[in-house]
Amino acid sequence: MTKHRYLLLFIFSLLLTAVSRHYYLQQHRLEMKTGNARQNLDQIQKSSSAFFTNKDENESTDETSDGQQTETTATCSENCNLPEHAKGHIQGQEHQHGHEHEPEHDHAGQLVAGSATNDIASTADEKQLAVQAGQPHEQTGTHGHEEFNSKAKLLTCEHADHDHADHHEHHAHGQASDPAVSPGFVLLLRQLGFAELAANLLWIQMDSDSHRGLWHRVEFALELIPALDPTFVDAYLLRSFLLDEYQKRHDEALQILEGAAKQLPNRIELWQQIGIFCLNHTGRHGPKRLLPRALEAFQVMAEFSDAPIQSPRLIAVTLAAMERRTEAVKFLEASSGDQTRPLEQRKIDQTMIERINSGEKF
Amino acid sequence: MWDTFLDVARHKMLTVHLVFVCIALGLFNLFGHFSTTPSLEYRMIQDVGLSIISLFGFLIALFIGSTTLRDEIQRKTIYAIFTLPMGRWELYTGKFLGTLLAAVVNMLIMLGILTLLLYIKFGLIWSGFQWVALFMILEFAIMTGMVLLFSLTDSLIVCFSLSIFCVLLGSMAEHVQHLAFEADIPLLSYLTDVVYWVIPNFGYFNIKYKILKDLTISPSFAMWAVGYACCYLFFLLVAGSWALKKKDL
Repeated sequence: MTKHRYLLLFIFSLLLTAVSRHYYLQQHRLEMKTGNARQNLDQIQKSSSAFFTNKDENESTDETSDGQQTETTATCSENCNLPEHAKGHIQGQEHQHGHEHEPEHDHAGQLVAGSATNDIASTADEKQLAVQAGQPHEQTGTHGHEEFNSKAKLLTCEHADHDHADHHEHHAHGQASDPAVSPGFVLLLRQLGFAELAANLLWIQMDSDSHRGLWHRVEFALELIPALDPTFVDAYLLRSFLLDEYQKRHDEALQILEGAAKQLPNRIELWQQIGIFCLNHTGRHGPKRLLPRALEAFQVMAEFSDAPIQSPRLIAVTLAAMERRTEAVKFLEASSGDQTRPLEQRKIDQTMIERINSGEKF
Repeated sequence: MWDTFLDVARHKMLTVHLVFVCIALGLFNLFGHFSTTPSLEYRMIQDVGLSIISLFGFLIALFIGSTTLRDEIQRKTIYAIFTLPMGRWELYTGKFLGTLLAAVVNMLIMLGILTLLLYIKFGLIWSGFQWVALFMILEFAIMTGMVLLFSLTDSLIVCFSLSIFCVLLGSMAEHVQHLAFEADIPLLSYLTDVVYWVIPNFGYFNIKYKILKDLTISPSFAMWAVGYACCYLFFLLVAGSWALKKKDL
């Protein structure tokens, strides 16, 4: 027995290690709220070819003798498939001008968050107020809307700071280079402990790909980023926005946000966006309206200490849409009576009360 | 243990490492350019800084762990120690603890430098510091145990190669297992399954992104991590003591 003491101890310690590892892994997945790493790798494998194909460029490599502008217009329309993008070309404007929109569209987030309240307004003044109501909350901390919006500009063709002519020359001539940040590279970075760096580099790569119209890569990157860093809120928001706005996959977009909210329940942006999707004012997110869920999401949002200033109005509008107008008015009256709210906001609250009382449909 | 620690502390290599770490951490401004907001920049710098500390911590554990016991054997001073009334397992455990202590002290110095730099740049005290430090200690403890075990091999190159290989494999254990499964070769799959269960998965000690975002982890999770690390260290110490006992000295 004593002779084999070390052997027995070795076997015992090996078994103990295996058992403790098993339970630790379970705890780890619970704590980190992550799935199996295999799922992530499956996802990478499924879509990795997207990073190494230039199919969108190939479609646009044939130059026409009519000049570059015709070519560029066609290419951008095909690749981007974005209404604003195409509109810019049709109007025969310079690229930079072609992507300029109304001031309230300066932030892509407002295309969703802002437009819901914007559509509610009827007069020009009200629109202005509504835009203010829909302004993204800058106080939401880390991955805030402000940051998201500035990045989301890239995909909504509002690149005020970029030289678009250059980008579209690339479109026309098919000069896309290989990706600088490949899935293998980001995976290696993550495994070496640089998860955040990997996710951010992929985000930058996605930005670059979006400029070149490589939307298949953009879509893939937006799937991969949360796999690398499950707390990268911007990726969830932008992906759901693109799915909803341009691919009309509304349910899927909502599912992404719901999944993200389970993962990151303390992020206001997610609750606001879920509420906006479910409220579905003017039916922009498809035929469905999930008003109870919208109300729930806005209420969660309003409970945060740094809740957006338009939260009470969003709750009231949802209540009005549910035909609980009395309740909505009472809620807004309480809000407008709150002396801690800015005077301008209380005025907007009053305007909203009048509109709810007038029987306007939301 | 203390003798080993003091012996290690006198090593010039540690000073060189610390200088490198200071330079690397000093360059952290470069990584901030990837980020668009101060909060994101703060987290990015933390992430990169912690990864640099992990990397240098491993190098320290590798260089110290691979030489401390080997030097005793090569200089024949180990025979003097054997004359003392202590078992070989006690010597091995003492060497391990001394090396670990040196690595931990270095790691804490590096973490301190990073925290100081973050405070200077952003004026924020780093919350969640203690959890990061705890998990890094666990990670380094296992790394040190592995390196010390491999240092009993005859060649220093073998020791280095095995250590680096195990750390890389341990960081990618799940993915390697998955790739083997996808390759559809039963023997390879079986082998990687064995490796997966024997090699420690360092990826599971990486709580950086959780800490950087949520600032804390649950104490029960930390307890499980400590439990697993202790079990694995017990395994490494038994294996190392056994190997030292079997060694012809």
